[in-house]
Amino acid sequence: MKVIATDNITAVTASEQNANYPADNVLDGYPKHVWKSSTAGASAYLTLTATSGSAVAVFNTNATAISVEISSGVSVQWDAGVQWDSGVQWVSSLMSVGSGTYDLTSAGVGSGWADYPATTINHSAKITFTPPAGEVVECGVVSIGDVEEFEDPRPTMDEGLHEFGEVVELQNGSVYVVDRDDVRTFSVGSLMTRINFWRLLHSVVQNNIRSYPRAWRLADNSNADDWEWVVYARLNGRPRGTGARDKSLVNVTMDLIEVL
Amino acid sequence: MLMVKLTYSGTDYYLSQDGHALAHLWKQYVLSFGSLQRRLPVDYGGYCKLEWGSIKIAGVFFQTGGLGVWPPPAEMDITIYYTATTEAAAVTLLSGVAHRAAVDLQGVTYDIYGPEYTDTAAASTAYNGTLVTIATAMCATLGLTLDSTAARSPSPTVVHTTSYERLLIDLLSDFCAFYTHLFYIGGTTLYLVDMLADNGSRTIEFKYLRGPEYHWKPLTYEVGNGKVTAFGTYKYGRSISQTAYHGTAANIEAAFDNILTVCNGDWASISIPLEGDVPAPGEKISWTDEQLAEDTEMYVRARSITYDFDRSLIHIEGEGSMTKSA
Repeated sequence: MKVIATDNITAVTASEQNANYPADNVLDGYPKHVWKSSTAGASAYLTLTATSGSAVAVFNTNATAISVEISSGVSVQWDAGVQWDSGVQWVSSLMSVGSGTYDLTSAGVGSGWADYPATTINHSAKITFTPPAGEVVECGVVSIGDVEEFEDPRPTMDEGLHEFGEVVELQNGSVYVVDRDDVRTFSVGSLMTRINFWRLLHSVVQNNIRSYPRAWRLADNSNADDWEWVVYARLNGRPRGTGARDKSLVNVTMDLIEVL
Repeated sequence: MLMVKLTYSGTDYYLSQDGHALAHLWKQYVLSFGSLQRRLPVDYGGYCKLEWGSIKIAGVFFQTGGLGVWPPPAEMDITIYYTATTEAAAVTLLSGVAHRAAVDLQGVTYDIYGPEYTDTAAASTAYNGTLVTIATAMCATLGLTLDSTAARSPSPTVVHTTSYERLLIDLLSDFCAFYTHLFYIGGTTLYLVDMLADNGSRTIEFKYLRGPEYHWKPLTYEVGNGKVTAFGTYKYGRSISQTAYHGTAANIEAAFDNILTVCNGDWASISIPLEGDVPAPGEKISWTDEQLAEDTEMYVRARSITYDFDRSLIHIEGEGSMTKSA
């Protein structure tokens, strides 16, 4: 189980955008506030700058595939007294950290996740989105930051939907439904090491995410690594753990609720 | 879909309760919306004025990247639209000014104020013409355009000289009530509606909430002005004192008879989903109720309309007619 505990994006630009759906919509934490490209049927990309990170996650995109390229700028500092010789010019260079292409069509959930080697200096992520045929690209949230990893949930994890709509009874016994989007809910149980539980409680929850939505990859193992486990969610309540104080393992439970 | 456009320093901001990706992105920053209501000053007509509520907007809207103004601005222009389909098909429910009322942990509450019409008629102003003619002239002064499609034809004649300065909008409201007309304002159009006729109509097959309420207003047995009086069928109940805006007894009595007809009609309240076209004041709403002691045909003409945006419902009250189903 992984979470991008801190969101370290400082800037975003798009290769193209609909003026009513600008690129910085992907940074506001509302997946339904999407960035849209302007050319139907054509790929488009976002370029994001982050101060530190080891994973990028996207949510509420209609893309059938994304390609992620991570590059890090090389920092150079002049020694005292050093100066340009005439005719010498600066040529910028980028160091590739990693890249990959991800097929998002399998689960139809509009989410994706790409891990890359931890990078603790300013770096950029270029995410190229492949649209469905004849449509413009859109994406609701992009998250880049340092991943905190924990033991995967037990296979018996509870999963469901929370309803926000209203059902009003009509005169003839039928009903009128005030339809609003449902969100996914998860009740996660995991057997964690004592040190991991402490890190979850204090470094991650208490010091960082609290009730804010974050990018979660709830399961990432050979049996469950689909995009459906990549969820933009917030903690509903706080994690709880049960374990003998002199033992090394803790039974941890926590509830998550998707954010739209 | 309910959509809220706020305008501040010449820039438009697009908000909604649930988030709608239409021509613009209507961001889900509206936390709650107090009910708005249109209703008449008296049962038998006048200005069907929108009574304004309040709106609560999420605090994040005011942060950098949104409005970027804090403390929240004292006032913003506000326009509220409703559409069941596209942004282009949206109808304007109201436009006015949102004025800062409260700030709390979740967001900022604004009270909504409608446009005020402050033009007046001076003392000793003489009116002698049809209601439509006078309403047309008043609209010109108020910066409005008259739509008299649903007004009575021929239009009744108003004869009146003001004895003191009056707000034009109030004076027109009084003229209309005397002649059982109502009017309402949408955008820059003033719609004049005969209360004895339909301003459009619709039949609700079954899509209304359980338990419409059927009731009768306190019985009115007479309407008079001290000189001319019209009597109803019954000789008990309340008496209405109404200024006459005509000099001929027969015309006055005919107008008072119409008032009795409206007041003593069969009244009902019904709640329907807020979807499709929004009912207009004076619109005829018909339905069949098979849950009463006998199957019943009912219609009302909408006199009071309440928009419950949080629950997506419209509550309608009006007078009409109740009959047993054939």
